[in-house]
Amino acid sequence: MLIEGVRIAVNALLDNKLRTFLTLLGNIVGTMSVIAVVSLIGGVDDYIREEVAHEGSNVFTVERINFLEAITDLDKFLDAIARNKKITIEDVDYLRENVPSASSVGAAADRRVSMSYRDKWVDRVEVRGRSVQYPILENIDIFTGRHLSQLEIMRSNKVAVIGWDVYKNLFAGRNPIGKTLKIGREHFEVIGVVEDQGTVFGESKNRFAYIPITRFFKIYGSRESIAVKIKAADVALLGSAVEEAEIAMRIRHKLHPTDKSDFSITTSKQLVSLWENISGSIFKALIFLVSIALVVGGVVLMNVMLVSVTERTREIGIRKALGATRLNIIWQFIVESITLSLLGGVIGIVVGFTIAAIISIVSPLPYSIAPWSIVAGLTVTFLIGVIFGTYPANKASKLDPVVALHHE
Amino acid sequence: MLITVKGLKKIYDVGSQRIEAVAGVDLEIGKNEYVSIMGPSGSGKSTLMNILGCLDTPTEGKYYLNGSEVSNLDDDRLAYIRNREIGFVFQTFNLLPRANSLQNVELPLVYAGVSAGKRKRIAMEVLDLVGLVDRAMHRPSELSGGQRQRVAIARALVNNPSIILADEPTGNLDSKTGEELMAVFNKIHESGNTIIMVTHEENVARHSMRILRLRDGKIESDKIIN
Repeated sequence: MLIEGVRIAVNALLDNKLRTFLTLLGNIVGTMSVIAVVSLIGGVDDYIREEVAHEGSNVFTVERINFLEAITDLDKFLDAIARNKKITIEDVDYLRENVPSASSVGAAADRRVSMSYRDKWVDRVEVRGRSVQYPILENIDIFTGRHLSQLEIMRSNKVAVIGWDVYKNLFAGRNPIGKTLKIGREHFEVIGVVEDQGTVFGESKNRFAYIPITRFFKIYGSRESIAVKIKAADVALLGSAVEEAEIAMRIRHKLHPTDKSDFSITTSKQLVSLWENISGSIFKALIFLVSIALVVGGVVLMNVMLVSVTERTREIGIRKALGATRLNIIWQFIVESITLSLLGGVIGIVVGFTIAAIISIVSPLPYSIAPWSIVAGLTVTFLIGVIFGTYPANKASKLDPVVALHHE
Repeated sequence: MLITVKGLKKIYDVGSQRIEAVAGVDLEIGKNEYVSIMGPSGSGKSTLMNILGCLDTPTEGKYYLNGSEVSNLDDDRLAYIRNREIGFVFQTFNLLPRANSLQNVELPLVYAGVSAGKRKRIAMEVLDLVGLVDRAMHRPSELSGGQRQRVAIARALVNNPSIILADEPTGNLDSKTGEELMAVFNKIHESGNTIIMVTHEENVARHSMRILRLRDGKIESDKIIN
C-alpha cells in the first residue's frame, strides 16, 4: 500500500512538473536557507574552535583597548578610548614579576608596512615587534633558520624572522637565511622562516615578520600603546592568571577599588562568546524567516493539493466505487503531499549545500556539513506534508462516490 | 435470493420540493439472472442502480444482499461490499487515464489487500478472458472504445463479485462494437455471473433474460423474455 501510494504520488507529480516545482518553492527556499546558513555557521564554529586551540586557550592579552568591545559594548569601547592609559614596555616587566600563575609574559607591537628584497615587493605586511617569548605565546614553529634570541633583542639588532608569504614572494624558494631585506626603509638580516600558518576567512596568516621589539621602538617610536601577551602555566590557572594581571595593573595604575579598570584583558573565551552571541542572533533570525517560508510553502502545498483533489474528483469516485475506503483515499493524498513536501526538502538540502559551497569558494567563509541540519530539514518538510496534506486528503475522502463519478 | 428489495424509496429535498426518485420498489433477483432495467430519463433507474451498487443508501425500505441487510451501512462497510460483491461497468468506462490496462484491472485487488504478485496473475487471467492480454501495458488513451469497455469489464470481474452492474455499457460505442460487447456479457453470464444492466436500447436489452421497466420511480413492468 505504501509503495502503491508513492507510485500514484510520483505519477501525479510528474504529470504537472511546473506546478510541482512552483509548489515546492516554499519548501525549497526554507530548507535551502537552513542548510546554507547552518553550514556556513558550522564552518566558522570549526574555525573558531581550531583557532582557540591553536593560540592556546590559556593565553590572554592585556591591552589598552579591546576591539571586540566595539561590537559587544560600544559605550564601554568609546569610554575606553577616551580614558584608558597607554601600556608600556615597563608594564610588561612589571606583569612578568607580578603574575605568578603565568608561565610566560611577552610584549607585542604591530604595524603594517611593505617589505622588499632587490626588485621584489610585498605590501601590507605586518611587522611584529616582539620580546623573546613570542614562539611560546603565539605557538610559532620555525621552518628554517632560528627564532630571535634574547641577545638580539637586548641589542636591538636588525634581524627578522619572516612569514611564509614573505619568504615565497621575496625569495621564491631560494635560501633566505643571511639575506638582507628591507622592512619599510630599514635593512634587516633574515635569520629564520616560520612554517606555513594557512589562511583564515580567505586571508593569509603568513604575511608578517618578527623583529626585536627594541628595534621596533627605535624605528617607530615607543609612544604608542603595546599589548602584553600572557600565558597561564596551565589551562586551570587561566582564571587566577587573569585575576592576578588585573590586580597588578590596577596597583600599577594606582586605581581606587571603586574605579573602573583603565585597560582591558582579552581572553580567547571572549572571542568564543562573542561568536556565540552573533551566531545565536543569526539562528533566531533564521528560524523566524524559515518559519515564514515554510508556512507559506505549506499553504501553497495545501492549495495545490485542493486543486488536485478537485481535478481528480472523478478518479476518487472511481476508486471509491471499486472499494477504496476513506482511509485508502486519505492515505493516497497524504502520501502524495508528503512526497511533494519531502521532494522540496531534498531539493532544498542539495541547493543549500551547493550555495554554502559556492559562498565558501568565492568568499573567505568556511563551511561544514552538519548532519543534524539534514535530519531537521527532512523532518520539518515531512511534517509540513502531513499537516498541510491532511485537510485536502480528508476532503477527498468525504466525497460522495455517486457525485464524484459524474463529475466532469 | 441474491437481491431482495422491499419498499425502497429514495427521496431528495430540493429546496421546498420533495422528489421521490425511487418511490417504493419491491424486487427480487436470483443468482445468475441477467436483468435489464429500462425506462425514460428521470424514471429513477440510475438512482435504483446506485442503491443496488451500494454507492448510495435508500431513504426508506430494506435492501438485502446475499441475505444480509446493506441499506444502512456506513461508508467504509459499503466500500467493503462494493469491493467484494459488486463489479461496475460504466457508460464512460471510468478507467484511470494514467494507469495501463493491467493497473486498472488490478485496482479492486489493491483495495482488497491482495499481494502484488497475486494481483498481477489474477488481473492477467481476467484480461485473457476479455481477450486483451496483448493490451495489458497500454493506457486507455491508446485503446479503442470497445477495448476500453472490455478493460472495464475485466476490472468488474477481477474480484469475482456476486453482481456485475452495467450502466449503459454500450452508450458510448457504435452499434457494431456494442454488439461485440454484448457477446462478452453473454459469455460472462453463461459462466455463472449475475448481471444487472441499465439501458434504454431495446436491442441491447433483448440479450438479457428479464426486463424491468421503470416509470416515475416505480416498476411499471417486470417480464421474463428468454
